[in-house]
Order: sequence, then structure tokens, then C-alpha cells
Amino acid sequence: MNPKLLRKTEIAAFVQSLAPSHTIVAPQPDEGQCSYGVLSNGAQPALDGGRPRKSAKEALYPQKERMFAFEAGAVEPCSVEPEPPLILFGVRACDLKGIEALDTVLLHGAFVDAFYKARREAAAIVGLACEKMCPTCFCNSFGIDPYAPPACDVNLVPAGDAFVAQPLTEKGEALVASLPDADAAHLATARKAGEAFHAAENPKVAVDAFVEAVAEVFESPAWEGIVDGCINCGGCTYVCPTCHCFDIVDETIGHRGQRVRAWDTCMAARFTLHTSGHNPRVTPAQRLRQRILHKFQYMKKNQSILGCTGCGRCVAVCPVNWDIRDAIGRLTEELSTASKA
Amino acid sequence: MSERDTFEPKIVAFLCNWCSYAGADLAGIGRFQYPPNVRVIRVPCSGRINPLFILKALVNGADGVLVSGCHPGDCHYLQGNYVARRKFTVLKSLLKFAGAWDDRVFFSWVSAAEGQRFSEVVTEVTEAVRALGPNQDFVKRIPEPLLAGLEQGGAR
Amino acid sequence: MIQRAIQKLAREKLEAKAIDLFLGYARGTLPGRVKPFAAAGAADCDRLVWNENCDTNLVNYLARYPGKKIGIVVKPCDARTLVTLLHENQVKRENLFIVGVNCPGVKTGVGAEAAMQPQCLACEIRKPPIADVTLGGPVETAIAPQAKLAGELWDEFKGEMQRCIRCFACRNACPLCYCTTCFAEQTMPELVYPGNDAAESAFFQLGRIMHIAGRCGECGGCERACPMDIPLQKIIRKAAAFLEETYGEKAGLSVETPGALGTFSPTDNNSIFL
Repeated sequence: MNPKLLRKTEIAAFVQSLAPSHTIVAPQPDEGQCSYGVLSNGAQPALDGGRPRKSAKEALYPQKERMFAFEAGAVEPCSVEPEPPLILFGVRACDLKGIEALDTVLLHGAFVDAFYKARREAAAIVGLACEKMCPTCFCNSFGIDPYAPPACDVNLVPAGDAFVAQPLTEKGEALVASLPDADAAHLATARKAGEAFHAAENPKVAVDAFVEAVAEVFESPAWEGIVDGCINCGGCTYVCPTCHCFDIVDETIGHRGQRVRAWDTCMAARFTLHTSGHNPRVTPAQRLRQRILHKFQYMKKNQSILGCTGCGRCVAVCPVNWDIRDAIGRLTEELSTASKA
Repeated sequence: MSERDTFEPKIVAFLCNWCSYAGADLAGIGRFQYPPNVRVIRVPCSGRINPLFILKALVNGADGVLVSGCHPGDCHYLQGNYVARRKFTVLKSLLKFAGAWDDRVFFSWVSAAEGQRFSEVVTEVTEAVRALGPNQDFVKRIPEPLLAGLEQGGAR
Repeated sequence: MIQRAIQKLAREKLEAKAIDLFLGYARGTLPGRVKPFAAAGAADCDRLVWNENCDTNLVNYLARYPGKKIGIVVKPCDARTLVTLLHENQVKRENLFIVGVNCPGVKTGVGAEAAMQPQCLACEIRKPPIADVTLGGPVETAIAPQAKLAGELWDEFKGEMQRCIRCFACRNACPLCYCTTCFAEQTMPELVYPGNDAAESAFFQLGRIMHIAGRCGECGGCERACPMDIPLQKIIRKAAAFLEETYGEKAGLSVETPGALGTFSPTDNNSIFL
């Protein structure tokens, strides 16, 4: 498939041309950073705004989803046919990997999530290669390469005054069919951008050694040791590209109600609170253990994929500088010493 | 007719047991008319009213909230309404600052002997809320189920 | 130097077994960040740091060590929250060794990019109202007194509530939010459903402010913790300014007096009543 050329000056017009039949979700300026959001008519996506605040999962798997509505004895299932199909435009590689991880759970697992499936299968995804890593990024530790990204339909690679749009699937080819072919000069610039990115990568975190070290661990004094200042807020899990745990509640006002599925966070006490009032997971260490083991042990075992993509958002948003990179290092050391002893 | 013309505000009134609730009773006995838009909730004291009650009523779609208790100095529990007065004063100022609901929240002192005053307060509040129109910002919405294709189950 | 003095005090007290642990700051993993650190022995004390990035309010961690004797570093705003906790009998004074630091304001970032945090600009309390030892020289008060003016309206409130993801970082970062079950987490009845509706976020935020008003030490922890950068201090500062103006009380200055909302006067302003 031939690489195409998308000039920066023509992005708004190009996106606009896709819009009549699609809803476009793209990074937009947000309080000094950027966030993925539905692009309003004629708006320019913020493709140079760095890593968006929250991951792209929200577009496919919203924080709150209505499953059905009811009114005093009558039930109306919600339609799973989404509105116009989505185009996720300008998705970073870490988020692409995150969508892959969500797919394993919500699409390819024992239970298929009908809402996610309808949205996911209709969506086209346009990746966006980063020019450089943010200080908190460590996607390279997971073998993620924005210039050879995980599954997406088109990948945009920066090339000076333009992006080289490389279609990777038939859906992607159709999407960028209207664009001109990329010329040799721009292809060379794009290649250079890739080289520059790889030359300035952040140091890697020893993920493989860690996955091996925690493979069979549950009870260990090591968990207490990494709690540090964690205050058990849910910031890290809500910005995470792979966290997918949810809560289901019936919201009612008077005789009318709806059942909704909403994101939940393993960092909160309520997450494991039983009806009886018993809570099996009470300490910050137990909750952190859950978060780490879910990402690096359970998902590895059950979905054959890691639940971390190294996007570094949890590191960036943490109010008390709880750094998963640091925790991985310390845990690997402690757990391997403990297993030798 | 527009929605504005047919709009009948829903107003939640938190009335203290000892004064304002008795005042509402007296309004009934004395045949002082007031608009039927208030839904009265009896509480032991205006000091019992948690600001969350007021906010939750508004989130759940009340168009206005009225809180009424004994006149300062007349509290059955001696100080309840004094404490409440500070609390509500702060609440009102913060709602105003946030631009949320501040003109939909009303406070009054109505004694057990003021049946007529109760009807005046309710009339005043109802007309003020009616003029504002429906509470729309910051309201939790649960969309009406489409009646077609409903799976019937249980008694309606 | 303050850092050396903190290390020395911590080491002495730990060696003398006068305290079980010392709450301070250690170097963070990112430039311009520090992390809360509990030194459990004299050997840990070399890791204690003090610099202009030490923003986290350590008072938040006192509840984690019930019954322990704790040394703690507090800035004036942190000390104000501690005063509130002492007044509310949440911590015991005799279990605390308080190292106060006179504070010229904390900064975000390092070097040329360092910027004074918003709560510090208008701060008038530069000396901890409670401390066993106070470090650092006297500091001029308010750097930019005009920053104190909260304004009449937070016109972005609705938009900000649409951005809130209800991760509750603001609440968890707050030492004064110590309810065992927060109203936002209670289930019977469910006051705040999970999700991100703007209406319920507004309900949560306004409800929380009402719990904090008259007690808040204005440390700015809630705003710093917000992953969405919602300027929560706007309304916090408004509440504090309103209470001071109306009732002449500033929270967290004396253990003996309750906050403005813990007391009343028969002659209080009656203007909101019909």
C-alpha cells in the first residue's frame, strides 16, 4: 500500500472531508495539554500537543455506558448500534497497544461486550507517531515502536511540513485514498524523524525480568515496601489505556431508571466491598498489588498480553510521585532475592 | 403553548417540625391558599438539613428548594437554626460563585403561628422559580424509555 | 540549612526512640518532584530532603500510623490542617513531634521553569501556627495579595465539572477528608453514582467544599492532585475568603477555637432569609 502525504495545512480540510459520515475523535487542546475528544465541525486536531491527558480508550469504552432503561416494570434494552462510526484520529502508539489489550478482554474473551464490539468494529483508527518521548514515557520497554505501530488502519509519521500517512489495512487505504502519494523527499524526512526518535529514547525498564519475578507471586512482604505515599486515588487507573474494570449500577429517579456500566478503580475501597460490609482488600498495599498483578501477571496468564503499555500517564498524574517504573525495579529486586533465599 | 407557559415548577421544601411544618399546617387550617408546587419533607430541625440534601434534590431534578425553620432565637433545640444559618449562608455564596442553582435555593424563617406567612413564602418561591424556568444545568437525566418495544414484566 | 536541620532532628529523635517514624520528603523520580517518605530508623534520615518542590501535605499520612509516635515536617498551610485535626481529636498532640518550616512558597518545576504554586501567591500565613521546632528565617507575607481575590464567579465551573473524571484524588489528597465512608462512596442510599456526569460531579465537588469550608488550611493539595488540572482552589479560596469576611475567622490557627462553621453568633448576617 502506497504511503500518502497529508500536509499540515490540509489536515483540517481532510478531517472535515471524513466527517459527514463519521464522528471524529482526535486530540484537542485542553488546559495546556491535549485530550482526545469529539472534534467539532472545522476544528483542527492538536497533533503536536504531546501525549493526550487521558488514553484513547474512552472513545470506544466510555466512562459511563447505559445498558438499558426501565420504568416501573417495563424494560427497554439499549441499542448497541452506535451512531455514526468513529474515526480515532491521531492515536499514540501506547494507546494503540492499549486498544489491543482491551480487545483481548472485551472482544476476544469468553464474553463479548456488545457495546464495545459495535463501536470497535465500525471504527477506523489513525495512529500518530511521536516525535520524541515524554519524560515519563517508557513504551520502548514493551517493544512498542511508534514508527512500526501496533494494529491501526493508517499511521501518520511526522515529516516536516506534512505527515506521511501509511495505510496498513484496506480500511485505512480507503480512508486516505483521496490524498496524494508521498514524494521521496517527505519519505526521507519521515525516515529521519524515526531515526531521531529512536536515538533519543528514554532508558528502558526491565519489564521481562519483572514479569518473570511476579509470575507466581501473591503473598509477599515486598508489597508493603512499595506503597510509599500512595493515597489510593483512582487517577492512575482512569488515565490508563488498558484498565477496564467496571461497576454496574441501577440509577433511579422516581419510577424511572437505567442500568449503567461505569469505570471502576481497584484503588478504591468500594471496589471490593461486599454487600455484607466485609471488604477483603483493605490496605493500600493490597490494592496496589491488585493493580500491578492484574497488569503483569493476570493479563499475561489470561489474555497473553501485558496490561501496561508504558504510556507513563500514571506516573505523570500521580499526586505523590508514585512511579511504576521505580516500583517495577524495586519489586524485581526484592522478589528475586526472596525467591533465592 | 411553549414549555414556559405550561411549566409547573417542582419545589422541595424542607420544613422544621416545630415551626415551619406547624406553620404549613396552620396555613391549611386557616385556609390560606398557596401553590401546590411544594413537596414538603419534614425534618426535626433546620440544623438537621445537610447541604447535600439540598444539592441532591436539585441534581435529581427539583426546580427549586425551600428550607424553612424556626425564627432565630426560637429553635426547639436552642441553637440548631443558628448553626444552620451560617451553613446555608456559606452554601448560598458558594452556589452563587459556581453559578449553579443559587437562584433556586431559598431560605426562610416561619413560625408555627405564621400560617399566612407560610403561604406567602411558598407563593413567592414558586413564582420566582416559575420565572426561572425548568432546572436544566447540572441535572441528572435518566432518559425516558421508548415506550415502543418495551418488554413488559411485572405490574405497572 | 533546613534540609540538614531536618535530618539532624529526625536522626536524634529516632535514635532516642522519642518517635517511631519521621514523615518527610525524599527525592522524587521526576525533575521537580519529591515523594513523601517515612524514615523508620536513623539510617533512613540521609534520604530526607527539603527544597522548594516539597509540596505534598504530609499531615494526610498521620492516620496511617495509629498509636505511633510520629515526627513530621509541616509547612504553615500543612500545620493549619494539622490544627484542625487536633481540634477534631483526630490525632493526639502528645504523639507528635512537629517540625515547622517557615515557608516562602512552594514551586512547581525546577530552575528557570520553576513557578510559584497558586495557593502560595496570596498566602498570608508564613509561619506554622503549631510546631515544636520552627526552621527557616521569617518570611514576608503575601507575595501577590491581589491573587487572594477569588472573584465573584467561577464562570468555567460547568465546563470544569464536565472534565471531572471523579477519580477522587482531590479528596484522597486532603488530610481533612477523613470520613471512613465518604458520601460519594456510600451505597445505601447511593448519593453519587459511578461515572462522570457533570451534574453529579458538581454535586460531589460542592458537597465536598461544604465539608471542608471553615476547616481548610488552603494547602492546595486537592488542586495539585487533580489529574485533569481543575482549578479547585478557586472555590476553596472563595469559601475561605467569604468566611473570613463574614465571620472574621480563618481556619486552622488555633486548636482551641472551632472553625467558622463550628460556632455561631445570634447576631449573624441574616440576609439570605426571605
